[in-house]
Amino acid sequence: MSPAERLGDYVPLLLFTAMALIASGLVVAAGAAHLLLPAGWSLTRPLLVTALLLLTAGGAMAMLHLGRPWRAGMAVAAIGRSWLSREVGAVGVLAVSTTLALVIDLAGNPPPPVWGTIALAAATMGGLLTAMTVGKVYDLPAQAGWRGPAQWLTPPIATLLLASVLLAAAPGGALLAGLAAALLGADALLLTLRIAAARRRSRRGPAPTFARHARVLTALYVLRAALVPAAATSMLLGWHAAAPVLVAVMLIIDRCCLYAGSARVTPSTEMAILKKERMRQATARPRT
Amino acid sequence: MAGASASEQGRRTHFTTCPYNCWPINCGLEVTVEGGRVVGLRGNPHHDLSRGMLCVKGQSALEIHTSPERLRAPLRREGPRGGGRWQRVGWDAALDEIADRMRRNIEAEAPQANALYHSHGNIVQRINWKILTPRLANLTGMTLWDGNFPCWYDVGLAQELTGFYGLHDPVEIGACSAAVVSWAQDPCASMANMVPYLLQVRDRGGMLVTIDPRVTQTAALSDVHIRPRLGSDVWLANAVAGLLIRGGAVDEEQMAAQTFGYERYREHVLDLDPVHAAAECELRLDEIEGLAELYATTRPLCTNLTRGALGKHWNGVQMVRAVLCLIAVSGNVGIAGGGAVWGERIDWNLDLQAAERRPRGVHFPENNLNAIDATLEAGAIDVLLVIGGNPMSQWPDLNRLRRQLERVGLGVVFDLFMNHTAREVADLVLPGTSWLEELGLRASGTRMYAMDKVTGPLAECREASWWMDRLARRLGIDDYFPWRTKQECLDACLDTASCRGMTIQNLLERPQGMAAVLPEVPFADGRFASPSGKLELFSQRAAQLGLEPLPVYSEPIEGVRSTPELARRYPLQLVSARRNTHFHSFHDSHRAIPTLATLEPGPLLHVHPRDALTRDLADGDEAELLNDRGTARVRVELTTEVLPGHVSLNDAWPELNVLTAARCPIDPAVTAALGVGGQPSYQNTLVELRRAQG
Amino acid sequence: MSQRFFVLDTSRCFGCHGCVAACATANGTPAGLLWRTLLKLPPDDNAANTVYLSVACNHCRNAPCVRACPSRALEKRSTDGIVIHRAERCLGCRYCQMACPYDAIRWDAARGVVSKCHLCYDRLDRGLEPACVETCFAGALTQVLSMDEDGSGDSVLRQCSREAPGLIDHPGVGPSIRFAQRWEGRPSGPRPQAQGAAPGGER
Repeated sequence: MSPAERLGDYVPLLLFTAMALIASGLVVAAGAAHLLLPAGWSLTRPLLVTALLLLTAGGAMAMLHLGRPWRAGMAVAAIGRSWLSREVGAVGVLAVSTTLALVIDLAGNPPPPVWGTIALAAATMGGLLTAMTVGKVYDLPAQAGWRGPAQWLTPPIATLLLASVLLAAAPGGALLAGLAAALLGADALLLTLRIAAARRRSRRGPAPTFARHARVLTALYVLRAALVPAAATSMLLGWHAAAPVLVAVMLIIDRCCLYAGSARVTPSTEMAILKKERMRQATARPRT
Repeated sequence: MAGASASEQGRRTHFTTCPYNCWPINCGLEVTVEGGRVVGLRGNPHHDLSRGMLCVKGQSALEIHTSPERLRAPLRREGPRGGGRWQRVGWDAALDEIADRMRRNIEAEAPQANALYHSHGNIVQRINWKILTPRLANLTGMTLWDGNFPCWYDVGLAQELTGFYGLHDPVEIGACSAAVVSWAQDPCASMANMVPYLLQVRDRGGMLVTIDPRVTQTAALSDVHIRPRLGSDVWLANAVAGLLIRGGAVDEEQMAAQTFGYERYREHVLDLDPVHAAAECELRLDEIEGLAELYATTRPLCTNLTRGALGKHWNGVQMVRAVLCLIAVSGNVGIAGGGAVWGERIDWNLDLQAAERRPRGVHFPENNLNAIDATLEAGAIDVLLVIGGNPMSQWPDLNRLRRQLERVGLGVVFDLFMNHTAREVADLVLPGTSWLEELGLRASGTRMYAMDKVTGPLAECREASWWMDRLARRLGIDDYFPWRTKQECLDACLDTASCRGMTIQNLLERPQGMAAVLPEVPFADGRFASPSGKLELFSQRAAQLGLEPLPVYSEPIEGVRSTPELARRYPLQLVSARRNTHFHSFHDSHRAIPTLATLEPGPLLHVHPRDALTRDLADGDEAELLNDRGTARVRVELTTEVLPGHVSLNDAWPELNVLTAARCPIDPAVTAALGVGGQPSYQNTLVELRRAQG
Repeated sequence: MSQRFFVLDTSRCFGCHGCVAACATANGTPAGLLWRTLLKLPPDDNAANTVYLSVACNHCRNAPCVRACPSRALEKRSTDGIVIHRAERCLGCRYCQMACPYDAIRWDAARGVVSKCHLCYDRLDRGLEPACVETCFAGALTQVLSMDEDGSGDSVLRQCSREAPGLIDHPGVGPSIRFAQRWEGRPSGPRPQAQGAAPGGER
């Protein structure tokens, strides 16, 4: 039985991952702002609040999708070998440090005490680790639609992109627009590689898990691709509020593309490839 | 229980056999009971033939016994037939209603209007099938039909006309045969318990050959696969026989001693040009020559001959006759490891059927499709008891049958589960016990086994003989069950020459079974069941009955060559097939058995990719199979196991018989004379296939 | 380190599904939940080279499911390399299902955990064969205990292939399954067509 027979079954995971990545981007932006920008700390509160709301909602969804949510504490038991364990750990660090930083912020006016800086640094680390582990969790030999560097580099690149467009919008952040542009370029390159791989798979196999939703998947990829120039354009035009929103939407659409593009490698799908070839030969060859 | 052995934890072990009917081996079962509940089921390792093995159906058998879908009480229809509304009634009320209606017909001097049809599902234990059910019909004077007619009757007729049945033993074949030819028989699918013996032949360096238009599972295990045109087997067998004779490979002295009509047969097959035969069969000449070479030089060669598949053709009797004659001229009759595999050799005490007590002077329609169809068409059946059978899935031309059965006044179904017949035709549904809830007997090859009663009956389920006795009493017959106990009854059934020394008590104490007293090698004594006492290549009985005395070909009644007009509209030939996961339509086409239902949840039609391509059909598509008799919905499976122009469907599904025709070439008079013949020509069905609409 | 291998002889397996049902019966899996799968590759056109693949868990040398599980519910035992799932540690996250390239892991929705073939280790420990092996009519499915993880030291396994139609030896995974083809007489290609026969379908 496949992990999810219906695309709908994946929705909680999809939303949780997207929310975690967006939260990571917000927190990394907050940390970088504090580090790089004058009066950076004063920008952190709305970012941290939003991040925490996303993490709470996403965390609840992630817990509830478990068959046995009351055992969730055991999820960090395999940090030594499991990317999922590491992701849970990273999100844990992110959530706890963000909460601490926010509490410290609420407790007093800027500039923050040293604990606040440490908490924010830890949260930033947590955000970066979350972005990377979310990528690696999907890098499985059994998933032709999810594996490979083009796929697992996308979440960290996109998270950094979100952080950089947020910073570019902040006062004094104009220099980061260049970084944002470079990251956008990297994202576009990775997307191109992913689409090319998907098209190769559509010819040879394995068949997509959700083949019946093929048109939806195409539409999602088109939308995903369109959001890249849309974000770039909004930055060029100086629509600073729009760019982070577009990148956040892009992150969500990107996760949709990932899940909808599932292409499991199993004995069934491998047999199907061989069968398809034998059936094709049975129609192609004249029977002599 | 006598046969049980106790263990410290309060667990008991019982031995019985599988409730399906896979001839000639019926696998042994070992059942573990704890606290009154069955907790384990596996193959009986002491069973001489099955040796602890169980196929996918046997492994899932406990799901039959424990299924929540089992009928638990008698039900009376509420509202119209097919409406699906039922009300629980007591056994007494149900039996009163049946008896009243039957009595009316008896008093109106139309006892033949009371009919009983029983089939495989009543074979839970052998004596229900062979003795106790026929006994009820004979004592109460009912029309008696059974599932032999759709299954193998025309094959049986060919055997009766020849006087030769085969009857060889799998153990013997595995040990002795130099080659096995599976002719229109797919043991891998329909009797997997034979496969170890076939592989034993192969492992000893022997050859396996499959003759079948489809690439069956057995074909994939065979050294050679011959794919004759559907229904052309007479050409093939006669051509091979002719080549043997021409090549001097036939022992003419043996033919004179063993057979009748050799000269006429010889002339008949020599008249045939092998090149012409090859064209008719759509085979290469060297394939026919290769088969002849095999029959000529490889001995002993056992022909694993069709149980029923060839009989499901219009020309089936001739096809089987042709192969039986070939077996004879190849010198394989009466030698160990030769002949043909057939079925039970053990005889039961058939006197207990009480056939002589049938009312005289009444014409009871024969167990022959033509007789049955005519009787139903005339509306002549008022009461129909269906016992362990499912006509509304397994008889041909279901739309026609449904219309005919509407005229039955009282329909009664006795089974473990609701099935198509119960849902569409029954006014009363009676709940049957599972095989674990009855004490019984089962033959397997040349041995007899006890079927131990493992638990008490579920709810109000009852054995067939229990309610048959009460029904008989209501009709004034008080000696239907003259024995004090079931054990006494079974012992009476075993009172035959071949079962000498067997009692139910002895058998319960022996999980390894007991050997029957039978000749070592069938027909080694040169005595055959025919008017001449010899194997009749030229069949005298056939001549007397107005049938062809020598094996001849005739075109099928419906086929691409014989009915080209029809074939223009319906160009595909529909062939029924067997699958491991199903035993005909038992247990509501096995939808009541979770493991089997998971493995094949619905009708899956095998279609060649060329045929699919021209019809814009892809693997897994929903499609409609249709002809003038009806339309059925199926799912498409693309496969090269069928030839282009053929489509194949598991016979478990009623969808098959929506398309088949209720036709049979054998006159009921033949059945009256010989007790066999009357099989529907299921395999001569033309269809078209298209994407499902909506 | 010792490792148990499944060995499937594809020249003997005829696709009867007996192994699938025997496993379900012996292990008492819930209705319709099957640990073993039987796949069929239809023959080449006009040939009889159907291939049947019976596969459950391959107890991989470097099992992706063991690496994936966040709560260490899946472990490879040291005595013979069998990968065992412990339901009491399972969160029901189903990540192992995503990780397995052989689709060996099943979701038990009623209990909210996964389950899979454990090579009948309880039976093996009592000196019995796994249920699927015991039931195989054709003697096609067997299991072998190899003294080394790769099987290259074992005389039987050395003569076997690592791959079969439908079963890929994914690099870095090391599935502990091998394929025999003891019957050499098995026809492998299409049989030449009858002379004079019409091209298929136009009879």
